Amino acid sequence: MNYVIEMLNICKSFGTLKANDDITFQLQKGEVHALVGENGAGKSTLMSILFGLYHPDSGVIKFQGEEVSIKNPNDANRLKIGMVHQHFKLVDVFTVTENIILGMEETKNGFLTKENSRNRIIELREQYKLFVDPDAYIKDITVGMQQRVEILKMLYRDADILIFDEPTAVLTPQEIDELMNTIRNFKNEGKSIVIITHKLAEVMAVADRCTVLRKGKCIGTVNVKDVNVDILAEMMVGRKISFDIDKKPARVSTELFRTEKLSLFNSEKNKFDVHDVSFSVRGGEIVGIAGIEGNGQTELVNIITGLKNLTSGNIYFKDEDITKKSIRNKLELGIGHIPEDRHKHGLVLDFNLSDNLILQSYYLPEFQKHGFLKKNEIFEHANDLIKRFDIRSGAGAVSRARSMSGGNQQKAIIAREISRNPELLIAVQPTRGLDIGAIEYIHEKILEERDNGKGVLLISLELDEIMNLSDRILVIYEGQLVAELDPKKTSFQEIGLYMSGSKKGVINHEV
Amino acid sequence: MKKALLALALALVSVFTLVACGEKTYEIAMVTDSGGIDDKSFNQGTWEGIKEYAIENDKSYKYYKPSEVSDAAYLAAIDLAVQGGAKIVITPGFLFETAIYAAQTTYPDVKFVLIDGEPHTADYSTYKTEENTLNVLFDEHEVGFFAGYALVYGGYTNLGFFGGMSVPAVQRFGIGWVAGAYYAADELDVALTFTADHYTYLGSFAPTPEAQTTATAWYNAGVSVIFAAAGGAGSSAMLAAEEGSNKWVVGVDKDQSGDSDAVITSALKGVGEAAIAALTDYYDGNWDGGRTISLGAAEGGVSLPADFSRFGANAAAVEAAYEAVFAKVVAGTIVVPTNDKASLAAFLTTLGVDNAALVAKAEPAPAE
Amino acid sequence: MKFKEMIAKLWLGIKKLFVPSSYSAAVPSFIAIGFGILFGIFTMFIIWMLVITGVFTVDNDPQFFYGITLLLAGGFNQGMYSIGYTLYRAAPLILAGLAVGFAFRTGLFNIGAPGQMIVGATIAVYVGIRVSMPAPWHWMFALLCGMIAGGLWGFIVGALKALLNVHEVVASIMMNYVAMYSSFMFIKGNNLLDGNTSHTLGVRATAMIPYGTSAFFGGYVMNIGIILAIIAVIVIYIVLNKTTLGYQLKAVGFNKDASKYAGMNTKRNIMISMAISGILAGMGGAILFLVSGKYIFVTKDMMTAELMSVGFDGISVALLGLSNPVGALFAGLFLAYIRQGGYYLNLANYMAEMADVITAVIIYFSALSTALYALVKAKKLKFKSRTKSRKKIADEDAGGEV
Repeated sequence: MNYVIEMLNICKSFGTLKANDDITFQLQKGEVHALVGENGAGKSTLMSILFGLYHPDSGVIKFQGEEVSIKNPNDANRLKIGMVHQHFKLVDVFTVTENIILGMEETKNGFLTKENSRNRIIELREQYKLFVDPDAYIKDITVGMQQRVEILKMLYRDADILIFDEPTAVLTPQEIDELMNTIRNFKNEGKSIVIITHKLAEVMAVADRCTVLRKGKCIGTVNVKDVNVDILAEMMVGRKISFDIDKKPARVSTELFRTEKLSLFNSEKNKFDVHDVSFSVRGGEIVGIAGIEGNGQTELVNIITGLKNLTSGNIYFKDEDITKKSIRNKLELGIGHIPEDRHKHGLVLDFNLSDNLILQSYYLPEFQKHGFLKKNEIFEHANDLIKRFDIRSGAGAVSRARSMSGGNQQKAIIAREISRNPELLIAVQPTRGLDIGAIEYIHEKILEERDNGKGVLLISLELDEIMNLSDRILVIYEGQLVAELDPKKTSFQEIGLYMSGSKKGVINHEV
Repeated sequence: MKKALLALALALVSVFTLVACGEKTYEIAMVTDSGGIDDKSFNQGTWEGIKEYAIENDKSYKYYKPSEVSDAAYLAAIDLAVQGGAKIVITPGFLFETAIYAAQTTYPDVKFVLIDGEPHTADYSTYKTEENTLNVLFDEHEVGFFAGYALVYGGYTNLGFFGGMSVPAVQRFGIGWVAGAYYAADELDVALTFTADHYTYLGSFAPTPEAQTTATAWYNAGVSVIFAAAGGAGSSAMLAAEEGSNKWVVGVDKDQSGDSDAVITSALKGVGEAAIAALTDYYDGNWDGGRTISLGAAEGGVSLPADFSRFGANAAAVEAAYEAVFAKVVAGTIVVPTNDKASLAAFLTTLGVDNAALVAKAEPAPAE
Repeated sequence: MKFKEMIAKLWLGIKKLFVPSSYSAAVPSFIAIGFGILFGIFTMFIIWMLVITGVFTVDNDPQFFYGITLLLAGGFNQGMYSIGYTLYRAAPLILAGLAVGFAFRTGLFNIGAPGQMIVGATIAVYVGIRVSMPAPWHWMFALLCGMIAGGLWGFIVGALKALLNVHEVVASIMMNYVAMYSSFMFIKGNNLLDGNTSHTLGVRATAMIPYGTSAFFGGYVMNIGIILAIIAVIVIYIVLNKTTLGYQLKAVGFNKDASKYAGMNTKRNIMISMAISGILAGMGGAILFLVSGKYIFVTKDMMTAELMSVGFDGISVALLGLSNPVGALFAGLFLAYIRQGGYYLNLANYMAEMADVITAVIIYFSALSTALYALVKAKKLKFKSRTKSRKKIADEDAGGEV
């Protein structure tokens, strides 16, 4: 077989963690090879080794059959390996051209000459239909375009082996389609492509072969046309996974929560981060807010929960104006909040689990007497939640939050919020970065809350999550709500159009 | 584990005896006060005197630095010195007064020399000097007199005085300074300007912006020399003098000419000489403790530095005049008034000077 | 049976108090101490060599081996007497360290401990001189006033941070100087000066921290300051670990955003935290000066040497004690011990400042403690995995996963 890259028996440990344990990965010329696995399975580590960012503890890398040593990204460039990182490595205040040529600028008498480079970029752009203005500044273009810049950067360096690390995470459905076409173009040009992903639908759509990793080990490499999503999922997780969410029809009761013309002005950027946002949540329903990252979701949640002061507008909870109430008041009234950033807001990482589980309720008579904490009650409370929510950690209630896995940290937060029995649960990115197993569990819990008659406001960047869970979908674009959709009647394509601002709708807001 | 700890503790406790069996002993000991041994002041002066005597007479000598500035720490350092074999302990500065008060009875066989102070209890209720203690004070009024005399001979006839605090030693400096200046003015028959406004006790030895402001104001009002018997506050006067032209400061205790170019001369206390004198008496079998001696010009206890170069063209004349008046004071031809205003008033009257306001300032009513 | 259980429980409690659960966290401090002492001995050796080879000439030749024994024997050199002296010196250091460490724990860098100590000392001395009260109450009242004054001084910094967003480091450095000059003014303005010198009068005998324990320690010096410091350590330990107040303060310290998210009043917590830190520093200042034969000097040099430096030592103590109250106790004792050893170096003709050299090196290494700790941990794990517990580690890791 004609392999362009072979990584044989690669091992790599970080401390006690075996990130890659005897992994063999072989890339054929002209194929699209998907590398799948859950978070922490070792995908990024493996590709970072290939790109020269890490060095394997043991194992061999062969390039076109010959053993090579890749010490740094420059070696990788020399072997025509290019990589688009999940987090782009671009200079905001440089133009597209400047970013692409960065590190290999042409000079004449010590002066930079960009003309040749610019022409070359335009050529590549036409060839691969990667439309982007070479003179635009990075800070002014969309995330999708920034990704194209990263791709052009690889092409400009004549890369033949292209690695994409989670390329669709930040894209709208339309942009994803375009990207898939681009990847097929590359394949037709004879380039070899690796896609790192955990989205199996994409694997099925574009890949020829697929290597599955689980907990640092290689589970196997399969031909995509021989398998289906279920088989891949089972390989990935190690057990059967059901993608169908058992969702009962919503039993919507009365209005619980309402915002009126919420606005937040950002004086630094001189624009509104949140602009005239009005919507409502009723008991027994999940309202999902979809949108591309950075369109005001974070700010909207911050002003609703009180982490930030709003510029104008009103917030009502059970017909009471709570706009000016303190965070604690809002919590006491019955609002639960699963924060977007579990490390920044959700947990005190240096506290143990039991202390984290009383973060909002430590002062209640349940947990204190005359200012002294009731340690026994706090432990009982923790052990109860650990049992009920299946939170796993090394030392139970006294494990430091920092030592727990992401999934269990998130479970702890969810346990805490749900156990406070809020009437409105605001869940922001509740499954970000989690394993399929944990995602499944958290989705179940959120649905359970809804079925118990609670209102849920779900804000997520994962369109799948919004589509599967929501009873109503609101789309946010540049701080404004641009559409209200029924998940049963809409499609990914339609939402995508709203998310990217290509289409604007009018919201029938009921007051 | 516990056994190991116990063993460790025992081992450490057994080290107790080490102090007693330190190989070397030192007969002459000095305990330093708040500054270091190289403070260019009392510590250093005393130490240099001790060294000079000890090397000449082949005695062992050593200094001890207390762990902090407190009576307890001073006492502890004295303890250490005695354990180190000290036969005579010399302590420079009045901060030792309370510690020596206690130590002199604790160690009756050890001799103590307290320079510039007299032993008393912390609340000043009891003063007592045992037979094994010798207190050395200085005739500050004599060196103040020399300074005032020299400055007027140097052609400076508008003078001022900064006292740190209104305590006897500082008062003596000021009274001598006034007396010397008027004495010289009388000899030369020049007019001397010394108003009561230009004679002050700052209330602190600390350099402060206020002290500097006061000095500047005085210089602007025509004062050309300020005698700064005010410890660290002297540097405030020096800063002010550096800003003016032909404005000068007289330093105190040690030769301060190195501190500032504006220091024209200094009123020296011979702490080194005091140490040498006490050691000589002790080793020659002439120890005569239980009293306070005062070292004046005659005993070499006070003087001006030998370098008169900052008097410029008048240097030679000033030096000659100083030497002449020094001899007169040593001989007792001139009796310099000490720290009471009556004797100053009497002295000035013999010169035909009447400056009652200034005399009143020199020894104010005691502060509450 | 019941009695036995009680004893067992008590012992467990004592153990928990003095052996922090993260006992291995103290490892870097011990490494730092080891490096510091080695460095000190090395320096002493170099000095010795330079003298005996004739490069330097000194009045009295240093005695290297004798010096080492003196240094290491520290506070044990003169038996009970020097143990007492060490404990006496340790009390203000422990309190300063506790003040800085407490603030650290709650996410604040209280570099203003020196100023809070100055204010505490000044007010305590004022009460000690001017107020007339019967014996046990007088010193307690003076101490209390000193604590309140220090607390207020800390509170000002906290309020500046919470309400006006002035960084506490900047504010507290400024407040140190404000404290020093205010103290000068206050002492002069209230005629607290001893007429013959540049320091304050002695405090009344009733206002002195009791010397009840001193007979045990060979006569003078030792007062109950160390007992008061230990009480403060226990109180702070309880506040931090057993109360809702400590819970909130730590939460804000570890993660301000999460605390805000959870509805805590972060601004109020900052002010409370700085005030408590100030109270501890003020207490240290008061204990330092409610002593016979100890006076506050109104000169910048002396104030800096006596009061400011103890306050800054608090940072070292906190660092060495890992900002843990019990850690501060041990670190303060250690610092006093090594300084006492430095003092005895007088006997071997070394400068007492050798102890400061050692302390400085220790602090440098403590500051690198995270790196050192990581190093130690890596070494240890390697060792472990080489021996037997490979499987155990694997199991632990698995336990951490979903």
